[in-house]
Amino acid sequence: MGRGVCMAKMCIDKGRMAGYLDRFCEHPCFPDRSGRRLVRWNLVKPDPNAPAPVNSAASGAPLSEIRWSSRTRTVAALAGGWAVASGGLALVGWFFEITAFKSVLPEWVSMKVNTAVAFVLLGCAFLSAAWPGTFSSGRREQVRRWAGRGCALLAGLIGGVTLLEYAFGWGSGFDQWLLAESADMIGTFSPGRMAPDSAFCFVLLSGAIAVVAAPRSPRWALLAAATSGLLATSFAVSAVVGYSTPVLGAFGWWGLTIMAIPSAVTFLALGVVVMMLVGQPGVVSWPLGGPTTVAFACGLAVLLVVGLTASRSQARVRETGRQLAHREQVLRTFTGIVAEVAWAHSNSQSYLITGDKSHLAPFEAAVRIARQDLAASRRLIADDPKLRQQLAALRVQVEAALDCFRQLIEADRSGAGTGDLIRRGEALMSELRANFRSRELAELHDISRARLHAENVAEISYFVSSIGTAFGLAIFLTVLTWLNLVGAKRNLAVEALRRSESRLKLALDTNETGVWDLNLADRTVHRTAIFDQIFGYETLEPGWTFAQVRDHVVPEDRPVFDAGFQRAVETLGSWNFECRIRRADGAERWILCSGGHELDGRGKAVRLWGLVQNITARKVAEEEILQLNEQLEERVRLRTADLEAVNRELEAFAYSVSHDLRAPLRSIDGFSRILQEDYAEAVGVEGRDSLDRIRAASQRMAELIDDLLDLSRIGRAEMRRETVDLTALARSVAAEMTEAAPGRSVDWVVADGLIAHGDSRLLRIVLENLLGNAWKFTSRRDRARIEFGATEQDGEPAYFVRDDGAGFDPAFAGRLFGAFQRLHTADEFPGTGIGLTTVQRIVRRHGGSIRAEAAVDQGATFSFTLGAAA
Amino acid sequence: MNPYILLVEDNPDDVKLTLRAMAKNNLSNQIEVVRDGIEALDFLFATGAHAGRDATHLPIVMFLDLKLPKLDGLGVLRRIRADRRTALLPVVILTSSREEQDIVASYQLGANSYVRKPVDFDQFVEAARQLSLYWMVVNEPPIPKRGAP
Repeated sequence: MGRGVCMAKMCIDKGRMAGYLDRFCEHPCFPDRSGRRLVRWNLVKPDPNAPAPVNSAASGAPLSEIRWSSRTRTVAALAGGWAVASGGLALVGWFFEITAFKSVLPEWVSMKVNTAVAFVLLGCAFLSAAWPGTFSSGRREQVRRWAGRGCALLAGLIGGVTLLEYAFGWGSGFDQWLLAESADMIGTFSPGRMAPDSAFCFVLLSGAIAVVAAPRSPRWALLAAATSGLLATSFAVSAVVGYSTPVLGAFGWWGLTIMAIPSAVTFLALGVVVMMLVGQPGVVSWPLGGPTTVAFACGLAVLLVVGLTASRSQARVRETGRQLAHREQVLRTFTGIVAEVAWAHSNSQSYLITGDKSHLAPFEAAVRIARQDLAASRRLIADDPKLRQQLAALRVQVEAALDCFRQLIEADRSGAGTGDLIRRGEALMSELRANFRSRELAELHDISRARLHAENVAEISYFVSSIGTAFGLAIFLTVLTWLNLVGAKRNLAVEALRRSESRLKLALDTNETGVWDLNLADRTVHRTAIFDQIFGYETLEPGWTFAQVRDHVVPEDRPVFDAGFQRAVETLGSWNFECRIRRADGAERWILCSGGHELDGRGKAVRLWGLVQNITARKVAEEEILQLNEQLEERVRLRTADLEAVNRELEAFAYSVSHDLRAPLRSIDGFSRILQEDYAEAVGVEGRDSLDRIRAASQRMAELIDDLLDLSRIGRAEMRRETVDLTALARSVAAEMTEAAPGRSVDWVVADGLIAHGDSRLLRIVLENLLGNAWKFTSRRDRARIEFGATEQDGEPAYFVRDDGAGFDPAFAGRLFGAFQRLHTADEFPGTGIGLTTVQRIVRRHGGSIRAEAAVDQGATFSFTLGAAA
Repeated sequence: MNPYILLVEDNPDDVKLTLRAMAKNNLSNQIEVVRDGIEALDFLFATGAHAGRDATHLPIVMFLDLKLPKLDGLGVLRRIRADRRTALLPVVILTSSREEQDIVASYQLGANSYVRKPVDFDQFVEAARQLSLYWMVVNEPPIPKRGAP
C-alpha cells in the first residue's frame, strides 16, 4: 500500500464517502483532530439525519504553513537585524550629521530618514516573525504577532504614502516630518523623499513578511510573497548595477530620487530571505524541483534587472536628449537674437552711410524682434538659473547695443556728432559677438560632449540589456528544456505508474480483494468497487460506515471482528483476521480483513488502510482437505487393520509350522533309527543305505523349517532402532565362532568405532550370517582373513565384510539373495541358502541395501547400508 | 511307590519314541503316559478316568507337551499351578516349538524347564537321558519320594 496505490484512479464519489468517514472518525478509538484519543470502544450507529460535515479545508483552498526551523529563524533574524542596523545607522548619521552613515560615499545619494525608519520597522517585523518558539502564554504570543504585523504595516504605509506623493505630486511635508534635508542633495528629487523604487519595495516586503509570519496562509499569498521578494531583489540588484558602472551611473527614473546603496543592499537581503522562506520544500506545492526553481528565479531576476536598468537608461537617455534639445533651442534663440542685433547694426550703419530712410524700418523690426526673442527666451529658460544669468548678461549687452544704435540714428537725424557713437556701437557689437561666439562654441562643445556621453550610455545599456536578455533567455530556455526532459520523464513515470496501477487493479480484482483508504487528516475515504461486490452489492452503496460493515459479520464471528480492530486501534498497529459475513443476498462468505495504520513522523495516525479479501474458495478447499484427510485416516485405519489381521494370520501360520511340521519329521527320523538299530541285518546294506538317506533328508527338512521360521520371524518382529556398536557386535560374533572352532586360524580385522542406528538383535543376525558365511567359505584356507569395516558411500556409511575365501562367480550374483538358492553344492560348503536372504530382508527393513562383489577363489565382499536413521 | 515320570503327549509316534528313549536309559517302567490335557488333570487329581488312583502319589516330574487336544499344555499348567496339591510339581515343557512367546508364557505360568524336542533321534535319546538323569536323580523334588527310607 502507500505510495504505490493511486487510490484516486479507483476512487468512487468522494463526496458521498463523507458519511462513512465521519462516523468512522467519530469512533471513539480514533484520534480526533486535536490529537486526543479516547479509549472507550463504543460503536456509533449511523445517523441518517445528521448534516454532512462542513470542512473548511475541503471548501477553501488548502492552507500552507511556513516551516520555521532553527536555520530559517537564524537567517530571518539576521536579515531583520541587518535592516534594523542599517536603518539605525542612517538615523544616527542623520541626527549627528555623519555623512558616512547616510550615504557611504559623499557623492552618492543618502538614505532618507523615512527610509531609515521604515527599515527599522521592517527589521522589527522580521525579527518578531523569527522569534524562536512560541511564548508559553497565548497573550504574549498574540502581542508578538500583532507587534510584528504592526511594524510591517507601518513600513508599508511609509512606502505607500511616498508613492502617492510621487503620483499626485504632493508636497514634502511627509518627507521632512522628522528631519529636514537641504534642497540640493545629490540625486534627490524632492528633499527628503525616498526613491520610488524604495517605496515600492517597502510596500512589497511589508506585505510579504506579513504573509510569511502568519501561521497559515493560502497558497496564492505565499506565491505573491515570493514574487515580492523577487521584485525587491531585482530592484536592489538593478540599483547596485547602476552604481557599479560609471557609464550607466546612478540615476533614477525620470530624474526622481535614486535608491541609496545601503537601502539596495538591505532590500536585497530582505528579498532573498523572503524567497528563501517561501521556497522551503513542502511549503508551497510547486511542480519544479529546488534547483530548477532557483534557476527559474535567477533567470527571471536577471531579466527584471536588465529590464529595470534598461528602462532607467532609456529614461536617462531620453531625459538627456530633451535637455540637449532644450539647450540647442536656447542656443538657437540666442543666435537669433545676436543675428537681429547684427542686422540692426548693419541697417543703422547703412542708414548712416546712405541716409536712406528705407533702412529704418528693418532697423525697428530687428530691434523689436530682438526684444521679443529676449522675452521669449526668458520664458524658455525660466527654471535654469545659469542660463538666466547668461540671458541677463546677453540682454544687458543687447540692450546696450540697441540703445547705442538708436542713439546713433537719432544723432544722425539731429546732425550731432556720431563719431563716438559709431565707435561705441562698433565696440559693443564686436564685444557682443565675441562673447556670444565664445559662449556659443563652449555651449556647442558641451552639447556635443553630452550627446556623445548619452550615446555611449545608450550603447552600453543596449549592449548590457542585450547580453542580459540573452543570458536570461538562455536561462529560461535551459529551464524549459530541463522541464521538458523532466516532463517527459514524468510522463513516462506516470505512464508506468498507470500501467502498474492497472496491473495492481487487475491483481486485486481477480483476487477479489477490495481496498479502502481512510485519510484522517481531511476525512476522505476511497474504496474500490470490489469492496461492495464482496458484500453482495452490485451497485455502489452510498456510503459505508463501520457499523454497517460490522452488521454484515455473522454474529458468531463478531467477537473476533471486534477484538481484531480494538487491538489494532489501541496500539495504532495492524489487524489481520478472518471472519464470515452474510452478503446482501443472504449467502455466507469468508473474508480476510487486514490492514493497518499509517503514522506520520510524530507517531500520530494520519491514514487507515485496509484490504478485504474473499477467501471463501480457500476456506471451502480447506474444509475439503480436512474431510479428505479424515477419509484418508479412516482408510488407513481400515487397511492397517487388514494388514494387522494378515500379520496375525502369518504369525499363527509360522507358529503352527514350527510345531506341527516338526512332529512328523521326528517320527520319520526316530523310527528310521529304530529300524537301523533293531533291524540292521534284516534290511541289508541297501536297506541301511536307504534308511540313512531317509534320516538325512528328514534332518535337512528340519533345518529348512528352522531357517524358514527364522526368516519369517525377521519379517514379523518389531524393530526398535537404537544406537548399536557394530564393532563390539562383530567382535563378539567373531569370538563365538572362534570359540566354537578353535582349531582354525583366522585374522579378524574389525574397524573401530563403527556405530549404526538400528535394531541390535536383527543387526546381530546380519553379522552372524555374514561373518558366519565368511568363516564358512574361508574354511579351506590355512590362514584366513576376515575384515569388517565401513566406507563412505553417498554420504552414508557402507559396512562391509570381506574375506579371502572361496568367493563366487559374479555371473551368478543374481541368485545370491534368493531364498534357498546356493552357488555351491552341499559337498563344497554346507548351508541352506537362506542366510543371505535373511540378511537382505533385515537390511531392507532398515531402509538400506546390500550388494556383493567377488571373484572365484579370491574372496568376496558384502557391503550394506542401513539407510537414514529414523 | 516308586517315583515315576508323567508324560503328557498326544502324538503316538512321539510317545513310542520317547518310551524307547527311556528304555535305552533303563527307565521304561518309570513312565506314565496320558494322551491329552484333560486326562492329565484327571490323572493328577485322581478324577474321571483315573478316579481310582492314589492322588497323593504324584510324579517326580511331568513332561508336558504344549500342543494337546482338548486342553493344551499351557492350560494344564495353569490348572496345575492353581491347585495347591500340584503347585510345586516340577514341569518340563517338552515341545517342538521354539517360539519365544511359548517359552515366555510357559515360564510365566510356572514351568520349571523348557526343552525343545530335536528331530534327530540320537539327539532325542541323549536329551531324554539327560533330562531323566537330572530330574530323577540330581534334582531334589519338592514332594518327597515315597518309599525312601
